[in-house]
Amino acid sequence: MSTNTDTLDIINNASAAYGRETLVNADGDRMLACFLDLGELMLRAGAEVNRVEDTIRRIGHAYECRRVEIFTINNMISLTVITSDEKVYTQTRRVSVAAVDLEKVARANELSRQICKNPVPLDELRDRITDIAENTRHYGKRMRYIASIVSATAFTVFFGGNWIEALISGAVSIILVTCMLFSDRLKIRPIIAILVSAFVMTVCVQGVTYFIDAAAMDSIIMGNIMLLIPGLALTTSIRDVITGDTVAGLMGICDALLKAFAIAVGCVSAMLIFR
Amino acid sequence: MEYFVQIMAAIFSAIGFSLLFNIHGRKMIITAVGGAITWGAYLIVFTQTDNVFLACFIATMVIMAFAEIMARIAKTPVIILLVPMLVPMVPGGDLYRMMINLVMDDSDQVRFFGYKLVMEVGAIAFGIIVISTAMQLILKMHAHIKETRKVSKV
Repeated sequence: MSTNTDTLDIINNASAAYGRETLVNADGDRMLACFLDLGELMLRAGAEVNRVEDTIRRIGHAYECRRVEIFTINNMISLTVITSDEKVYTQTRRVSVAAVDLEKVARANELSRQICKNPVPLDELRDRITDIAENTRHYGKRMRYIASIVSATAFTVFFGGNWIEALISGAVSIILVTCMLFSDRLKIRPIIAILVSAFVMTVCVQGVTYFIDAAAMDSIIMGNIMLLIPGLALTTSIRDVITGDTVAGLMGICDALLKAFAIAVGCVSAMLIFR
Repeated sequence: MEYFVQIMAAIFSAIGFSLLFNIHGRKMIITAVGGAITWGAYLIVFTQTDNVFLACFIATMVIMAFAEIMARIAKTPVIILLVPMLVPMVPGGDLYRMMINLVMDDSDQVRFFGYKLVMEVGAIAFGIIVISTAMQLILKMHAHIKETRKVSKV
């Protein structure tokens, strides 16, 4: 979240450098930056568009804004508030994708509940948002591996695999997660990361099952595909469409379908090589 | 026995996904229970009616209602509980079967599994829509009744 603090610093410096008149304006801008930080945090962590809009609207009213005009889509937030002294502030924030982190969404939700009951000073709000951004407890990388192994193994059993297939599936999922983490670090677009990971995973499975007769590749690949399928994107998007954010919902559904297509392309191309 | 193994697998997959999505403590236990309920509901409806659409639809409705109720009890957003619990319903198996038949050049099977895939996704979407709409209606009515009572008291 370094960009947010940068924005705040610029605004802070501006308010320190100019006279008192601009200081008042800068306060409004600081408030907006705070709201947008919270919105960006939630959107990046995987909250629905409607939840982001609703949260910021509520907090805006809690800070005595007369009107809060917010428009959010999956990768952008545009916010205009009219304060009680009839001043108009506008800011727009482009939001990039990040890892899903539902604990952050839960904490942001909790924060907005508390803020709406009794608004705290702006500095404290800012501190608490930074606290959520930086100090939310994480499971860490090792746990991500363990989680993937558990899920992949469970799904292989789920789709009717025997215990040898389940073991291979767990081992392959380690390679899959390594692929995903590595492409995260290289900052590759998610859709290409998924395509490449699916390809590598299928190649590995086919290589292993070629040597081990007791294992068929079907349930192993199914188990690992489940780790790649964008279930969250689909669920949030459907909920977005119902709550009236049609544009954001359609964007999300389109994104989820493209990701499923990318999985198919990755797997099929690997299968064609080994056919 | 086969069903028991599947339900156990659903529980573990829900736990695994709640770890992936960074869900902690009490909420993780709820999602584990939810995973079992999802697949249990699916299996019950599927074995009774032999209809995939109906099974997906009803299982999604059940889990959606469970998520809405538990979210209010645990005071947390619905989406957090819903996503890991829905994971066993996601039709990854049929996506794979469609792909493998695409490679095998069996167009009848591709069409069959493609159709099944669309139907399952449609059923899940439909289930989410029905319960969300019902929930919003209930909440709006509740607020409305509260409002009118206040007015009548004054």
